[in-house]
Amino acid sequence: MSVGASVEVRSISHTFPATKGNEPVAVLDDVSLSIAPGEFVALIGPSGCGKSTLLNMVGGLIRPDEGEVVYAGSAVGAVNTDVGYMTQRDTLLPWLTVEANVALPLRFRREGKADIKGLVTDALDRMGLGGFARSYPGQLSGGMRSRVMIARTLVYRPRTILMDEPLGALDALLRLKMQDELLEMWRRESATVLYVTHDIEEALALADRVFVFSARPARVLAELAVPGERPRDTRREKDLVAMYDVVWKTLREELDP
Amino acid sequence: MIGPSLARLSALPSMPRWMQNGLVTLAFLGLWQLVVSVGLQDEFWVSSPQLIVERLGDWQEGGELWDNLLPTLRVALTGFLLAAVAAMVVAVALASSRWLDEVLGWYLDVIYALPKPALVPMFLFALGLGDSPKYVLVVLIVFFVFYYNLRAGLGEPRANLRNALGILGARRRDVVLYLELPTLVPYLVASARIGAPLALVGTVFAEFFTATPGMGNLIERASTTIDATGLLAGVAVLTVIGALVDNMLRRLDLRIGRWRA
Repeated sequence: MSVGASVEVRSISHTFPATKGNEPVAVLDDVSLSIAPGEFVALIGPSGCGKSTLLNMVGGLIRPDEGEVVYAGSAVGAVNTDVGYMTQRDTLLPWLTVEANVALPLRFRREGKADIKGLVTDALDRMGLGGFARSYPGQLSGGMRSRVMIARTLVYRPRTILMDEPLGALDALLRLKMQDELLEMWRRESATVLYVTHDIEEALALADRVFVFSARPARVLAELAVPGERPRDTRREKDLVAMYDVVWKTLREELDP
Repeated sequence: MIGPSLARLSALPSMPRWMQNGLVTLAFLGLWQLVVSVGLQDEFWVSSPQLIVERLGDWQEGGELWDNLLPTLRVALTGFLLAAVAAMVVAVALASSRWLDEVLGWYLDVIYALPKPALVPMFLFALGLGDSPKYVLVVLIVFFVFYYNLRAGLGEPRANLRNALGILGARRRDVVLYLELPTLVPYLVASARIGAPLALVGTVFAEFFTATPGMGNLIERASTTIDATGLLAGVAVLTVIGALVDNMLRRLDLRIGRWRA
């Protein structure tokens, strides 16, 4: 059983330099987060506020101008291969079959052929993709592709999973179903999860804690511990309804021009 | 009279396509033969399918066919491969270095604009009447087909996939193998389909001027002796070869591009 890693974001500020025809963009302003091993944390805030940049920093894809990310006790320097990353637009390779896509992280880790075969079959079966191993991503629906992304992420058991609106491209009904599957995966893997979303209900349904971000450059406006066992009924439980209002009021002020 | 024949025509689409194409081709050749047989056109100036087939038989027996076809194919294929490899090296180098791109890119654009066939006599002055001028022309033509296509392929934005593979643990070698090469494959196949017939055309054109054996040589001899049959027999051979090669490349394209279906 993998055990989640701790993630410390220490007073990070970041500005993207000016590009042709564009002003420099300040995206993060002195952001600090402290996330315990195995915790499920939701990051919510207006579009373009810098939440995705923060995830990229935890993944080691962007180096912050100021501050640092400390991952499992050491500062993130290079690309962090200890995490899994699920983005809104899937990053499956269109020329590889579902099976080959899911096998990628194991191939890169130079695992043995027989091991790879077993682990991949297992992951595909768990996501209900058994019959689609030989399909190409282009032949699958959006929901199926999300499942392939989940399978590819859990097949190598990363200690931390970064999710950037992983269900953003799905319709509302499918999204509810996939939320259950994500929760199931988190429970089984006991990985740390950083979950970026625009959807307040989704954040309250899934997370242990919710961080509310301001408009760009992002600061942490509020930090809420969400009570209650999962699955939660965000529409009926009184605490959660009240919490929804708090988050919505905080965000609404940020959205006003 | 017209009614029934139209009905028969509309039955055509239910035939396999190769049969339809074959029928149209036979009709064309038949018409040609007919025009010559009834004397509407002089056989001497336009030849005829029958004469061409007879000539091909003669060439086959006399050995001219293979003696000239093989050298042409050898030059076209070698030149084609040389050009593809050179274009790959140059395209990757220029795509990965802005400085090289700015210094050399401009010259490549100018060389691309040169009317290369007009320079063939120049190549003869410099390199003699052997095979070298043929290679130079073929490489100069085919290089640019690959070069510009590969630059387009290398310019495709792939940052999100590259990052994703990095997080999944890919090393430099994995990124090349799983992302960069597969991205280029459709561009390589497209280049090959355009470049292969051009390689053949380039070879034959250069052979008009050179002294070594080749289909171009055969055709040139026919044209200077006002031998329409010889000219068209040579062209027929090259057309069949070109079509076969293109067919092969199209099958390859479909096979490699299965995931796009």
